[in-house]
Amino acid sequence: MRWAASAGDLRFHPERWGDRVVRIASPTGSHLLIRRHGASELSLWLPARAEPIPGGSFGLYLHPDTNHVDRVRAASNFRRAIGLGLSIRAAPFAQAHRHAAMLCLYDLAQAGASLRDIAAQLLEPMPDDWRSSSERSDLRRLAEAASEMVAGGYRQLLGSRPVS
Amino acid sequence: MPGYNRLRLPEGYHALANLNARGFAWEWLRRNPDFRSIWLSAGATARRAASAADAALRRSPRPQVNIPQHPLARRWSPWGLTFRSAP
Repeated sequence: MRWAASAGDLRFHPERWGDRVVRIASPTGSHLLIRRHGASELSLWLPARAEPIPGGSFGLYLHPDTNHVDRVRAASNFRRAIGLGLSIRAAPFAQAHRHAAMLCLYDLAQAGASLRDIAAQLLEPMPDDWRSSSERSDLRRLAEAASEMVAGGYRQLLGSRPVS
Repeated sequence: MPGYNRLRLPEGYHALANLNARGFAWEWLRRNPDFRSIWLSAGATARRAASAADAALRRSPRPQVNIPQHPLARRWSPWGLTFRSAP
């Protein structure tokens, strides 16, 4: 693609963008995982026929489709991750405890435990009236959410702004 | 969703709370029965390639590590994750 003006100071030097750069080959291109101490890992997908020349200048094309907002955010994150603008600090995942609980429920259920068995193992104290308790409803919702995650919901966690 | 903070989770699950969103995605994916079956049916070549990739990441002192295409890469690509080690 010919650019209408100079592409500026963006040069393709992924080896300089992080303390560690992992390049993983795939059938249609390469994944780059760029790791910098104290920052979120940056993952880049480089399609085989669109990879910039090493050391050469390059630009970012943001296709104006329905995912445009996500693309703009990803471009902004990329710019910061390679040292232009404010650096991105690794932030803890706000839903981590909930997902850890869901994983535990899922694993116990897969091992054959009933919801009541799981409650007896994880709740202290066990509610007096289990069948009508709010804890039972909570555990059931967590178990359902866990099954959805296993069935493909995990993809929601992979974007630049993961949803819970 | 209320409730999960009151659960007494085994120690191993407390440790999971340090993962980021991508780490949890991997934990969910590796429990997916179809994804697991791909790995379980994999041959020795695929297992060796995964071990070699892990070893390269752990041991290489170089700032840039190149991992060759995994034998199962075509089958794993639709799952949305870069290939990682065995489930």
